Amino acid sequence: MKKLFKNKLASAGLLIIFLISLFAIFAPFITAYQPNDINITDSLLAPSAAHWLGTDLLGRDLLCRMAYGARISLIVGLIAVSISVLIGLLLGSIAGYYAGRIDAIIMRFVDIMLCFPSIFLILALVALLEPSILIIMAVIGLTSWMGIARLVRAEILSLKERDYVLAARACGVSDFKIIIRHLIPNAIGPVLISATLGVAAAILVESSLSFLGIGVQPPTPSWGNILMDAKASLGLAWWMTFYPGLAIFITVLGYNLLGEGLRDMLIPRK
Amino acid sequence: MEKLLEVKNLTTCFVPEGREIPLVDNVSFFINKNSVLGFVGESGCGKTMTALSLTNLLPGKNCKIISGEINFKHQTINQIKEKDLKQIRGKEITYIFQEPATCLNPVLNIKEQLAEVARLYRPEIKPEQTNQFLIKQLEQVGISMPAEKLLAFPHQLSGGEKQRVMIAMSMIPRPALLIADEPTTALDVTIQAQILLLLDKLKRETGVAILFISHDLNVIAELSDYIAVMYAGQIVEFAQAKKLLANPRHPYTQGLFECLPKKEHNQQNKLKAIIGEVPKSGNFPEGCRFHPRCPVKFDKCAQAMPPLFKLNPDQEVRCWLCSD
Amino acid sequence: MLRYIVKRLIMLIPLLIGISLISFLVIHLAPGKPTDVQLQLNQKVSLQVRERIEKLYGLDKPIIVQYFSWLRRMLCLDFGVSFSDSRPVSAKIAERIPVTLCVSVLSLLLILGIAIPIGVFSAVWEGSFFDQAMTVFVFIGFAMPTFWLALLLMKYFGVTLHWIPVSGLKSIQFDSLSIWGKFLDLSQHLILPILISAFTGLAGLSRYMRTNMINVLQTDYIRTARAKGLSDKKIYFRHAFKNALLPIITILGLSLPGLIGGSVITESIFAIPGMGKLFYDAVMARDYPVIMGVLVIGAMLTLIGNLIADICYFYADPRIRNSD
Repeated sequence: MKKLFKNKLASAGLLIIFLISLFAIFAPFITAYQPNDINITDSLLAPSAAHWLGTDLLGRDLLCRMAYGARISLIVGLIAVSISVLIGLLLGSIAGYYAGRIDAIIMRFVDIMLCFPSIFLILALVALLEPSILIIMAVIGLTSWMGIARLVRAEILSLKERDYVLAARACGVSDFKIIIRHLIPNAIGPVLISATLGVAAAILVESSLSFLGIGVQPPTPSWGNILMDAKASLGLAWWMTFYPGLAIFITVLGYNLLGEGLRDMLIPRK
Repeated sequence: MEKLLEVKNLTTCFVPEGREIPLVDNVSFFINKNSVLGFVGESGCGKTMTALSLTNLLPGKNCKIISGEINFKHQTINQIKEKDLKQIRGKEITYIFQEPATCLNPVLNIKEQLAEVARLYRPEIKPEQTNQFLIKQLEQVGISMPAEKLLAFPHQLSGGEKQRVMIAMSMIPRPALLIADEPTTALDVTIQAQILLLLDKLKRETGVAILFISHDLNVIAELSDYIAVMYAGQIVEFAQAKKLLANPRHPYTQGLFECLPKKEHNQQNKLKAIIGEVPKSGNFPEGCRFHPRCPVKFDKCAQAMPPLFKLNPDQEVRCWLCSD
Repeated sequence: MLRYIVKRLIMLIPLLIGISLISFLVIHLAPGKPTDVQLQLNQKVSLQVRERIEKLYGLDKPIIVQYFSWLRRMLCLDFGVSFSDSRPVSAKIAERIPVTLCVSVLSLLLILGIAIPIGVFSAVWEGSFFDQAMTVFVFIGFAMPTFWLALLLMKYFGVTLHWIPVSGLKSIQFDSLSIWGKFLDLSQHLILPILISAFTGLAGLSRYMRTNMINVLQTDYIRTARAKGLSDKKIYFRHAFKNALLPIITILGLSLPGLIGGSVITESIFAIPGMGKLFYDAVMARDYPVIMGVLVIGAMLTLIGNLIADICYFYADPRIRNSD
């Protein structure tokens, strides 16, 4: 942990993530407004003392909506990545540990999944299953585990020939225990890095989906669907375009910085 | 004998973030014209770093020559500009390395890699003669079917052939000094002997001087006129080959001799080993660096580092036992 | 050569089957029958018509039979007719592909043209101001939501400055323009979409090129090149560049799905009638045949891209070229 704060990239990333999390957690206390308070007379107000970041077409406070949107983005990012890490760990360790035919089948499956432009697959699934936050998280997770699976497989392939694993096997320890106790903990570094970068990617995907109108559905605010509204009033209200995008940018940057920092720390270079 | 290269008090350090870790520590030696100097010592003792220091081929920005002089043909070549050094590196001083498999560029064929040297240093060879010239060069280093091999890529050659190509490449500029850094270590024993014979032949025919680096004292003994024994970044014994082989004085040199399999098989003459390992750079012991492993150490060895004692004009030893 | 391509083609067969299987499953995952939507949209459709449609799609047969009949039709590129305008899906896709491919290929060229020099010089001048500035640029590129960048540029260059049109592919008066005018008009409409779709890839590829180049610069054959006394230009561009470029070829094949996928976002923002827009509209209208068609064609384009990359690699890397 101390090492984490020493690394400049990682601590910058952590700071950003910490601030954004505060922003999301304390969403109800940041402004005096509710995210869905419609007030037509306040339509498209520029940033001012009353509305720090201005208002949208329906007169809703932008800062307030962005704070609630932060909740969506962070939750979707974290849960989607948890799903993809789970699938990736499971398939990757099975492929790496048992090798042979199972490995060939799983890896072909990975190749096939990688052939699809993932946004096509996500759009089709979300549209067919009706967009909801749960579905979005599940679908992003289901279409982004391939990298982690490959990574875990490679790690386990190299780890399983080590002496301590062979010793455990010779002692009759069950495969499941060997994988859980000995192999996965040793492969966790690269997985952690790729999961952190994965959160950034998932947040980007969710906001793109919401921007296209297939993600989080109004009136629930999300950074992406605020931007969708902003497109309609592009020439009228610059703040509607500028701030939510900036929020996405900074959050994604935070996770990327943390991920790269972790890479510097966990994978030593010569 | 005229000296071709003389190195005085060369110190090369690894300098990460302000620290200074010596890799080559106060090393002095010389090479006469048309002679062979053998550098021997365990891996990690600074032989390669010394060789790379000579023409500033050190890897990365973190390795630097800190002090000392490298005199080559009446020029102090560690104090001249990189531009002028380029006139010497590759032309007057050439190299062959340990791993022929990774030392040739995998995406260029042999001809391209040889021709760029010929173009650079043998301008008298006309473009239309290049092919013939290169084939002859390959022939001279003992490559069969040279015309075909010339158009091959490195991965299509055997390990021995690759090293022969490296040798041909290093001989094209007609250098005054060839630095051979463990040139036979990665090869089979039979190929090893052939390469040694080839180097010996080239030395006699072209008059090139050779700095021959190896961890194998047998190989060094066969070829060298002078021998320098290195340990933990320092030269511990520097002597004429005949004298050193007849009468090794440093306990480390003696240890290296005892590690060699003897020709006469009797029970008393069992194979011995030097106990322990070479200390890592930056982690050298106080006093004589060899003393933790030395079978004949005494109190003084742990307290002060011995200087090089000149026993006779042709033998210097860094050991307190030779102090009187 | 032929053997290599045939081998690659055979390896594509299981991938193709997998692609068809997944596309098929995606559609059948949806609750209700594909015909439901169409029938809901058009209340007037009688029961008779409904039965006819179900028969057409074979929805009354077991799912395995459905899959094989779908697979057979897919192999003939017959994806049925669109729900929205009853035109054949393959025809609709065929008229949209050129635009998307054009934008993708142009932005790929743009990425290559900018990212490779950035990567190479960042590596050559590792740690310099240029390198650090490029690192910052890479982080910005990775974190930038493309649709936001698109909106910002659209707002600035289109709405504020009125330099370029903000949507569509052609102006209203397109047909009356001269050839040169048509070209200018098209490029005005396409410049932003191409820039946008190139932006993210740019960051990734320049980083990748930098890492490759740095790794190559540490290899033994680069040390050999330096030992030969070659000029920096020769070392970097003749010896290092070629080797660092090889892995880029594979990456280009792999980056194709991202580019084609990205077309959904750029094309729907800029209202460009390409495959991405077609897909977006189909998704919004639940036009199943079109969704399936684009899904399969998109995956096939990726396969073709990978095949082309493999063939390029075959020509570029002598180690593979000469292995047969």
